[in-house]
Amino acid sequence: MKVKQRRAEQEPALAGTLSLDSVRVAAESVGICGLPDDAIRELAEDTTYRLRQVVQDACKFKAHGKRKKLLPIDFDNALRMRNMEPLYGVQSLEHVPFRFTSGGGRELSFQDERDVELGELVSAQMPKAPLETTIRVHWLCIDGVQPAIPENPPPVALEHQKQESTNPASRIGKPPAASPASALPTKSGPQRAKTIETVSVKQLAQHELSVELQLYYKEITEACVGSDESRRAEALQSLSSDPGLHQMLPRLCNFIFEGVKVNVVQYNLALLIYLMRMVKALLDNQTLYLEKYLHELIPSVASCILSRQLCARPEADNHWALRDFASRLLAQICKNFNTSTNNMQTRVTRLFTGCLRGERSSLAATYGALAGLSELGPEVIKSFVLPQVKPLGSRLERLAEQPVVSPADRLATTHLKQLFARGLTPLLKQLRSSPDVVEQYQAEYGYLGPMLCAAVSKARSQTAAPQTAVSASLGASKVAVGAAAAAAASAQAAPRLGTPQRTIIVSGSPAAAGGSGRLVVLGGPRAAAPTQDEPSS
Amino acid sequence: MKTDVDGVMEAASTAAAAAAAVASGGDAKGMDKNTLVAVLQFLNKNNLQGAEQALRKETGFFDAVSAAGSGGQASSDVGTVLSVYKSEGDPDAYVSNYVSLKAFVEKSLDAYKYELGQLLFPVFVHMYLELVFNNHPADAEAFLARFGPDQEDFFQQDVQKLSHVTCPEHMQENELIQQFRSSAYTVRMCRDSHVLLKRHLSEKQHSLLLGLVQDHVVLDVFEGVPRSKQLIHLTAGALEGDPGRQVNKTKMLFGLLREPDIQLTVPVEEDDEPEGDDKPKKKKAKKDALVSKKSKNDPNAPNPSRIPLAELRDMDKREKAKSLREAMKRATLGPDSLPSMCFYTFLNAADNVSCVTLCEDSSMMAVGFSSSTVRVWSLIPQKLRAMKSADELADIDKDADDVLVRMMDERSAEQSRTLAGHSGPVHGVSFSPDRTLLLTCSEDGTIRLWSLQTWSCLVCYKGHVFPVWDVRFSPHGHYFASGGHDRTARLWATDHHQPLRIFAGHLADVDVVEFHPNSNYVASGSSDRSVRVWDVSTGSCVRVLTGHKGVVYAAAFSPDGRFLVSGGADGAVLCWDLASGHLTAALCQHTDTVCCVQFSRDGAVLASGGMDDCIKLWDFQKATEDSLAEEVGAAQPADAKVGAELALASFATKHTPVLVLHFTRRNLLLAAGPLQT
Repeated sequence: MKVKQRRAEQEPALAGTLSLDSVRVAAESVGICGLPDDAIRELAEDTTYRLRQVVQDACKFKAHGKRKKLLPIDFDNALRMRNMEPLYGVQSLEHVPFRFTSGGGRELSFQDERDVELGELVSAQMPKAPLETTIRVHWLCIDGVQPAIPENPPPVALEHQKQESTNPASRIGKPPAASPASALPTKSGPQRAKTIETVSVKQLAQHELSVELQLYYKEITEACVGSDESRRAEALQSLSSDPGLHQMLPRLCNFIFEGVKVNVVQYNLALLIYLMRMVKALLDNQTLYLEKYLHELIPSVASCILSRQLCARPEADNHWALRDFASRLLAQICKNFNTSTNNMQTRVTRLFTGCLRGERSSLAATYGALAGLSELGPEVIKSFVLPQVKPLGSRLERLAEQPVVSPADRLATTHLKQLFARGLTPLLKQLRSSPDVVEQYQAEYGYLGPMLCAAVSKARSQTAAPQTAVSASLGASKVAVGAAAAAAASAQAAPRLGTPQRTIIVSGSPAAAGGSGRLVVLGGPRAAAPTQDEPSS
Repeated sequence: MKTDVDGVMEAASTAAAAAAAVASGGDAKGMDKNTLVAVLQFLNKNNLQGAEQALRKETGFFDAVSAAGSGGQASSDVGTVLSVYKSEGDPDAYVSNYVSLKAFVEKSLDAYKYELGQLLFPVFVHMYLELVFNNHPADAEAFLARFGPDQEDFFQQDVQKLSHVTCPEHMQENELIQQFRSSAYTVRMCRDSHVLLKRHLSEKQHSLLLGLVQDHVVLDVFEGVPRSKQLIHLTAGALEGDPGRQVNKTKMLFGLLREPDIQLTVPVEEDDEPEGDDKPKKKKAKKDALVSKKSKNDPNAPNPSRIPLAELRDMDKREKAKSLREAMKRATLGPDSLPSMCFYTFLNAADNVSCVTLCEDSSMMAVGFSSSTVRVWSLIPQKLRAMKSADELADIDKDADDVLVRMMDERSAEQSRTLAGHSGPVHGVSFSPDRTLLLTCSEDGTIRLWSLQTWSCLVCYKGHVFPVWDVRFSPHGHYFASGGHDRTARLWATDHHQPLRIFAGHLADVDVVEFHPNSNYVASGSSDRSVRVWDVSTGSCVRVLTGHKGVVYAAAFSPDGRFLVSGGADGAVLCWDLASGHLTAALCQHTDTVCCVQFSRDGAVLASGGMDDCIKLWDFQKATEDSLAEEVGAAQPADAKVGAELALASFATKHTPVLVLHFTRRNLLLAAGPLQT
């Protein structure tokens, strides 16, 4: 009942009344059956009125509690103010424990009350005590200028950066004073406007860096690629959390770009890893919008994935980790910045697939391409990796049959096999029904069949019990990622088939990149099942 | 149960009115009709016939009131009051009458249009109530649906509340209906508009309309040109309409009290000894200016003995001297030199912090929590210490110079301390000027006085029956004011368990109270969207300031005592000239409730902060220069300035509503709020 009422408050006047059914059920629940309709109507009207009164009062408590959200406690206080017994047991801050159900022609909201076993309650672990309220002090502004520190909001809002990069025309015709960025005091409007009128053309890009920022740039870049690990950690922390970096982005991205360019050739693995960690930090910074700089970031990251050789001693150094890490980065970039206009995921997928199909590419590069693809989600794996299992397997087989195998190649083979097992097992587990027969796998996937079969059956036996729960919880993210892959695929297929192009954007904040992807579908009638129109290649 | 509550409420407000009337010393001229009527009723109700007759005779006032035909509002008996609404009128007539009034307003000349337009809302309300009262629910609903959206934006909240009332039984206990019936809606208009209106009403033979206007609307007619649209809009919004013309005529003694002479020379010289020869001279000159300014006799200042104030102790004098010394070092603020701001963010406290305050010398911060506790933090290196036990205290040499320090127990020093005692959310906290006492008020209807030396509750003041929304210590200590859901603001002294004055007159909750720097006046902001200023000495209301379009949640007096600034749920910050009662500036740039307003110590800059996670600075000197130049008591207010030209800067916080603003003695701005997660 409360839930309904709460909703009613947001709508304009006269919305929301207590339904007759609710009253009837409430009456039945206290043992009064067969109330005449008139009585129920009368009761419903009166209860609605009283509920509204209480909600009104509750809003007062909300306002004096300096909150924007009405809480159950406000409701209790409002009831107490009217000398009525508050509702006990409805104390949750986040949600009201009412559930909705319909059936038998009735729609009901009810409270799910379970019997609580006292023994369990006593023996259960104590819930975590809430954290103590503490005070944190920072400078909001110093002599009228707001310092760009993590405690303050970013000088240029993310939305604004985004708009600027997607629609550069938005800056033209707008006086600089009007931009939300100007934390500087605006001196009396009209006079200032006059002085601006004399300036004929204003440069669109602002390239000045203050002395402090220049110093900061020097410090940060030195720390990031230097030898002191604790300083590096600090620098990366600063890159991933400081809000005022947006002016320096061109410099930082260029630093990374040039750094990768030089070090890839020189097989300087450590530096490449440091640079990739910088990319990661920038991606994690919630106040930055990187789209304008992707033309520098993506080639750098892709180089770290696909290069024939990344380290001086391929047989000893662990460049595989760098390739894995960079693959994850690229997947994150794709997820954050893929749009219908840049078709990023499609292009990235094409890049990897080309490398994977190429007979002449080195095993290390193949490993990179495979890692990159497997980070892009099950749909991509299904359509681009699975068909390649057999040819790649035969290549590995040939290599294994050679009398002399170089240690580097042997290592690469092991890693590739591991990667295949890691990347394909979850997908195969779903695609194929048990039991897993070695011969079938062998027939389908060739040389790698037996290994995959073993991995799948092992995975099956491990997750037999909690399988349902896991697959349910994974469902959401799988759909999102899968949809992205399908989008890439359909975008590829679209011109060929002549079907209208659809746009599917998988958006998610950089911080949430690992988890809660949100599926936004623009245009295209068949949004519900994006897996249907997958190309049968 | 409900009627009990209402009864209590009723009794509280009548008793309050009685107290107010008694406090005003029975001066009939200064009283408004309602108060007197309420007193009479109270006497009548309690069968005090002798007193009633005496009062009637003495004032000779009541007859006039009933003759004026507003007797309907006089009775507190719900049935009889509501029977005013009784009519056999055809429900369709209401619609046609309203339409005709609306057409009349729209067709009249632009000059008069807006003045006449003010009539529409009260007529709308009372027509709706009549329809409901006479059992035409369907017609009432249709009426509301048709004309409700036409009402001004700031009345929409009321329209929504009205829409909840759909049957006569509900009318008896509805807060809003009580407000409408207990006070007539005042509409100010010039003579020409009034003549037009009278002609229209009599020509068209709209008896219904005529009756409504006569019964429920007070037309306050003035000579002169009609008011402009902007002016009307700026002052419109209150539940009771405009304040009557006479209301704000009372002279207010807004000057500051004469500061006691404090021997400053000695400590200042001591401080400056290490410095060069030139500097002390300079400072001395500055100090002289400061002192002489203070000691100059202000014609607007009240007599220091107008209300009894506590004698200054040696400790207070030392404190004053210290404060003056600090004041000399303070930064001068202005459009070109903005203050620095330091923000205190409460972590792990989302949805829990409901009020914050800082003490005058910025050494402590007190926070009231929804969880009923109060916590005090020390903001300086010196920690919070408790007093020693009685046995240990006996051993202390009482003549020692540092006896105050010796009293405190070093071992108990802590950065923050918690005070527990309330049984509901704490809505207001206030430090005493000497920082030894703390007042808190809570949803449980009590105000508690805590000692910051023993860290225990000293007194529990029970006067408000309903939640108390705000409490504030007087700048001179001893007195404090409170306001709450019972629609009254009250004045207390720390040593009395009963209130000294009850300020009744607001039509809805009193949400904020603030003391004037000279302690002779208390300002209160209310849910009826008005701000009132009360005289502490007489208990009467000396100013009614309307113009807010939402609940008033913040108020502050300028350091010179001349101006009052208020902020509310409408996001507006309004500046009032207390000398004339006129609006001098309307600063509407906040996008959500304004929670706090504060003046810099020199009064040049005004800061406001609110739920929109933003602190804004305003050029207050510019806002008031016109009013200061103008003669006091000009008939028509000068055009109020609007926000844009006065805005100095705006600083956003990161998801943190600003609950308190405080300028230190050196004009550093401190602010605090809980981080929203």
